[in-house]
Amino acid sequence: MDKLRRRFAKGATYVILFAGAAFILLPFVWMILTSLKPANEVLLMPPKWLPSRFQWENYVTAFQSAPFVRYFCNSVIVTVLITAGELLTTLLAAFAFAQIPFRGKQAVFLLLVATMMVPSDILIIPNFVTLANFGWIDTYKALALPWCASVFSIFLLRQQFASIPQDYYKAARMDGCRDLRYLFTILVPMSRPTIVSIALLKIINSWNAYLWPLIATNSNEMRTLPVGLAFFSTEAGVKYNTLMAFSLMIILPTLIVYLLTQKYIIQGVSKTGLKG
Amino acid sequence: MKKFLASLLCGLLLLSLGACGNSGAQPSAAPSTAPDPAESTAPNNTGSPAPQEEEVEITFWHAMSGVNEEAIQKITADFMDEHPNIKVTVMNQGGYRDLFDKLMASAKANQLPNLAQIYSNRLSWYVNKELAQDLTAYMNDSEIGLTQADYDDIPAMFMDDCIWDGKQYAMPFNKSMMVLYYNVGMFEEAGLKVPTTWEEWADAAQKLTKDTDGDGEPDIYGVVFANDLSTDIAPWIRQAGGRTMDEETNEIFFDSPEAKEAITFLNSMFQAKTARFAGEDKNSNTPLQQGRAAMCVASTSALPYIESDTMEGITIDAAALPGHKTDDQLYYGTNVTVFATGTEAQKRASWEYLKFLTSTENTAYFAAQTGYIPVRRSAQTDPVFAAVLAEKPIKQLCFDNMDRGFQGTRNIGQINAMDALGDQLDLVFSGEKDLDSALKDAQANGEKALAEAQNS
Repeated sequence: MDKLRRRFAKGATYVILFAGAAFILLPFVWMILTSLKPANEVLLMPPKWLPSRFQWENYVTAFQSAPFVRYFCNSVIVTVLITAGELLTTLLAAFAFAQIPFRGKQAVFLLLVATMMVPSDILIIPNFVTLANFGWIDTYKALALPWCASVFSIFLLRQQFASIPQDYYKAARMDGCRDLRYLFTILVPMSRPTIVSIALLKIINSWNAYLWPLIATNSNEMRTLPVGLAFFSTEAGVKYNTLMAFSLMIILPTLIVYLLTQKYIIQGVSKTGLKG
Repeated sequence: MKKFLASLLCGLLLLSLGACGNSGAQPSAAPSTAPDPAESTAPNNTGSPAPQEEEVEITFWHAMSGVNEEAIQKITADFMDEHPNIKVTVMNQGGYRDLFDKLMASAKANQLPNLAQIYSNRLSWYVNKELAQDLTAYMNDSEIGLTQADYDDIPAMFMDDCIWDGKQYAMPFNKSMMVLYYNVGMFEEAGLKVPTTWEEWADAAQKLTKDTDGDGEPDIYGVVFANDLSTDIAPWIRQAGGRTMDEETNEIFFDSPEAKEAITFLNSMFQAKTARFAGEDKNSNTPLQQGRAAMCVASTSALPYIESDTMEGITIDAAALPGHKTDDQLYYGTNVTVFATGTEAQKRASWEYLKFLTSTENTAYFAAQTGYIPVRRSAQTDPVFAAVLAEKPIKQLCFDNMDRGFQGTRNIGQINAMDALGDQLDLVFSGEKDLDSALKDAQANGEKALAEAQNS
């Protein structure tokens, strides 16, 4: 009887999990199928799942619509710069806010958190004007620097660091361990899942960023992959099939990173209650 | 010590980013003007043009993609072949909204390009801030100017859209017309003729609406409108004998008998479920292409999509919008402006490029390759475009209706005011608000939005 109940419970779990997975995967499958359809089958009502013929040339068209390789390299460079920059600033700031006592700490932290209320779109023109005055428009500096610090990440990591007892810090100091060494050899390994979550969120955000890379660049040599998405839309309509083919090529790298790091993400999610 | 460490790390971070930037691609195609203060802060927008001899680089920002962009690139390459001393960098800046956002940011940072595609209702602001170049001197120049024949060739409606206080700041570029597309087969089957009046239109919409599965909801709608109909309402208000606003006095006429008549007519079709918005179809032509609508109101710029995406067995044609008290037809599209922030040589070169871009041969080529229409009447006889006209008679509509055509008003804040009207009209069309109070609120909100935009 007990065995039967356990088996039933297990079966029900699988059914729910499969339903959840199907629900999440559906848009992705739709995207793949759309990317292979002829133009006049994309928006059919009622929807038609399978294309009447698989139009693989959509991928060729999508690939040729933008300087794909150049955009891809730029996306990689910018994503690496931003992620590395943000991790560094986040680690240092979170460490200071969580473990180091200093005057006005609470006030500074509140001030930082308050900036989360400012919508990022409002910052576009001031950021552009500032960087234009530096003469940085159309450089990697303009693409990366404004995104190398994130109050949200600092807040997240500070909570994680704060959950680690101060006794570790005091013990380490007594043994002559300096702040930075304590941070990188003790705190960071203990907080790996949170840090990986922060990095991954940043990778996804920077990889997918559209408006800022478009605003901050003036030449094809400096543009990133998502900017290429604009090639498939006009005010009169959108070429959904080639757009989906291009989108699929864009998201593949993030998908691979996600698959490689999913162990940490799951740990991060279970610890922080946040997901990407 | 900690402070020192933090500063040091920040410095290192900045340096590393700097190094990466320098080692990468050079900031090529920098927009027009590493600003020469003498030139850029006090735009010389009245002086006579200097002759063009030295090498000069200019930048043109646009929002055209796909075949549209390819056509611009081809014309630009031809221009540079003819003018070896002028290098033109054409740069796509995303969609229209992205382009306009970027132009605004660039204006604030004194980084405007030399030329840009722009709607006249947005150009008003740049004219007002003296950032747009008065082209009159170049246009009248005996060597590089326009002839009387050129002026006569470009429809006044298009030229007027580029003129403020008698000065011309732009040239018309990619234009299209709002038309009524219809399913030829459905009209033939019902024995209906294409509507030319509001009454005929409402009647046809009613007769062609079909509930094939009997669930009480139409499966084939008579007419489908674009989702932004509310902000593109001007043609119906004009056809009822009214107008939306006055450009000189900034008066708004949303709460007027004419607006009420126009919206009552459109709303009667929505409430009778013989008309609907595109909704999830995004573009009004999509359900028409699939046989789920008998008519749709859309721009002629949708023509390439209609050609490639229509289901087999469906034939689509188009007609001018059905009229009422007047037969006014809406034309829209952007112009290309020259900004006053460039050097004198850049401004002169920009004008030469602009003239080339809008010559008969090139406007014909652009219109032949894209869904847009030429900005010159003479393009009709250009061999390239004449061949297209023979194949796509819908494009002929744009020429046949030019005398009845108009373009939207250009008040600073016009977009905000029309959005205020659009918000109220959406409530009316969805049956959530009565027309009288909606128009009253639209009038008040529109006046406020216009005043705010004018003062900012």
